[in-house]
Amino acid sequence: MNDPTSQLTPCPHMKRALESMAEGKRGGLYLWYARLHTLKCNRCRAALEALKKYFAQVKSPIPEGEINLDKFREGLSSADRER
Amino acid sequence: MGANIIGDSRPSMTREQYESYVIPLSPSMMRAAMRLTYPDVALAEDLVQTAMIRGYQMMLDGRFEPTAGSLSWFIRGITCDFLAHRRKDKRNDVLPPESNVFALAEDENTPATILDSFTLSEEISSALDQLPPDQRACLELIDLAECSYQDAARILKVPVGTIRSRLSRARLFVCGQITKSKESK
Repeated sequence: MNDPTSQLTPCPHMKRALESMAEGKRGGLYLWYARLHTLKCNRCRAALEALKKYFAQVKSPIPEGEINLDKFREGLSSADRER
Repeated sequence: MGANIIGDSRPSMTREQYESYVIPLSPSMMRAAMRLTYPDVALAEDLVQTAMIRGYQMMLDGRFEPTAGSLSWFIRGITCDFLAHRRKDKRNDVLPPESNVFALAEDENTPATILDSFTLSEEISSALDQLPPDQRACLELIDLAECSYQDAARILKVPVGTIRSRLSRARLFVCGQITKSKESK
């Protein structure tokens, strides 16, 4: 199902570090090394940029939404009537 | 993924039991739906209501048994319905009429910014559709519904380490699809 040619291909030992960096985590020797690595490695740098864009979308704050329980219960009643 | 689909024809819960089971799951479902439809809150609620009612109908027919793992089943239904909705809109070649895109744009953001974020959501949801089910469930639960790794592991009945590796693969795949899509424009 996954098309391997469409995937980003960072160095295998860097995957976790890239996700942490993209999420904005900064501390630790591992991430210090990862930052140095991405300066030299085009594949990891491309993956890092793409992950940053992804996290900007999925981690951006969105307002809390809630469902209308009366409408939900009406839907249940309608399902009961249809049987 | 939770063994939700069953062959037994008897409902496994009463209506009251179903309500008290599914209502606590609705905030997670709404978070996932909002991630896909934002800024269209009404569409997010419609998707969640549809998924919850469909679960009830299938439970009455004896085709669905709510379990601890059913949250991912509901979220899958929500993302499938969202994609179907977007495909329908594309055929009509218009933005969803109920969308608040332009109203929000007047508030603080430019129309271009809003439309760009809207398009990105579509790309993410289209990429989700191409993921293997195990990876997709991890991404939906953690990145869309904002479950913890521990909760996702409990829901999917796999170790936390498996969740992490599936999530990592899923994120890279989705990012690859987004990059490819941007490059082809």
